[in-house]
Amino acid sequence: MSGSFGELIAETRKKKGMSQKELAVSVGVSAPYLNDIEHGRRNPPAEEIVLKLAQILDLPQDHLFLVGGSVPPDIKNAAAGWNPQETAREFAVFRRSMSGGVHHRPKKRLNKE
Amino acid sequence: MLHMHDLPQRSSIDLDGLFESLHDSITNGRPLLKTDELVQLLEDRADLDNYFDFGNSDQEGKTIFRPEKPQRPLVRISGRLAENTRLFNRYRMTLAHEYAHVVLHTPLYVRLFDRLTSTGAADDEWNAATELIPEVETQMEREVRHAAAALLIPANSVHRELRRQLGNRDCRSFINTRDGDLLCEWACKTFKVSIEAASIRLKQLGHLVEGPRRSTRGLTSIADILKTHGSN
Repeated sequence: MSGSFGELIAETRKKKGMSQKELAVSVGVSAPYLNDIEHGRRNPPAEEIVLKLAQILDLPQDHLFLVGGSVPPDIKNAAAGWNPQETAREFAVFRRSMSGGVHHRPKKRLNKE
Repeated sequence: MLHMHDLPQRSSIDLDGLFESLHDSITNGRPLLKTDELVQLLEDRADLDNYFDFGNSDQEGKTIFRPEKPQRPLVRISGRLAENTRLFNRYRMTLAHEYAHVVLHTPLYVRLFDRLTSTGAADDEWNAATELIPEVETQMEREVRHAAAALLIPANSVHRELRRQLGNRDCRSFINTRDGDLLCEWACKTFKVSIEAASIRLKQLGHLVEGPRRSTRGLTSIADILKTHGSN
């Protein structure tokens, strides 16, 4: 699985058989700009570009925002009015859910079957 | 360290065969290998950084073989070429040149990296081992130049196109004559390469030959025929 935002974009684009130029035109950015993103020379792009990339590449938006180190717009909007204590509380809930504390998700088996 | 004996003995004929068959498998008999197809070829086997800034250096392309991804080298192409339509033909030749490095030299580096890993080489040993000795570098560049020309201007396509337009006429021209110049221009337009690259390849293929300074009728004058038929 790809590590960085750029690697994920490049890998998915190639799997879909798209050229850098084709993807750049579809998203509405220049090919050099997209190339810079794929090679980690630019920060992940603005929200609307991430949304377009997710749509064209059939990637889950949330995952793309996460890999790009940002927050999906709906969460950002919902959290817009939070004070620091509320932010801390919500994140604590989220962390607990990640480790299986609140909303149990099946843990991955480490041993091979 | 890569030594001369690490390099497979490949003749011009071997390189022509390998790269012309790659050309044919993509173009299906069409003479021109499109730039998008060339980019696709590279992206299939390497990580392509198509708009790299080499700073003040006049470098146009570079293939980097890296131990962390031995099977997928990193190919950097200068943004100066990729973004400048006037340098389009140079851009194509640079892509072909780096692609030839990837095809021909990746296996050498895979073996070298394996050897260094298995012997637990220290950092300085890695650095020393991946330095190229001039003799090896020269040989690598020589075969890559030939391979890139074979990919973009395949012998069978040149012969076929000339035969299509000239029939059974002798399709050789003298260097530095009107015929010779027009033959180069024809190849330049047909295969979208620079005049210089076209000239070198036509010499290799025996279509452009040494002769008197002035055009003679000793060989078939092909200029008018090529002009009449156009370059497509």
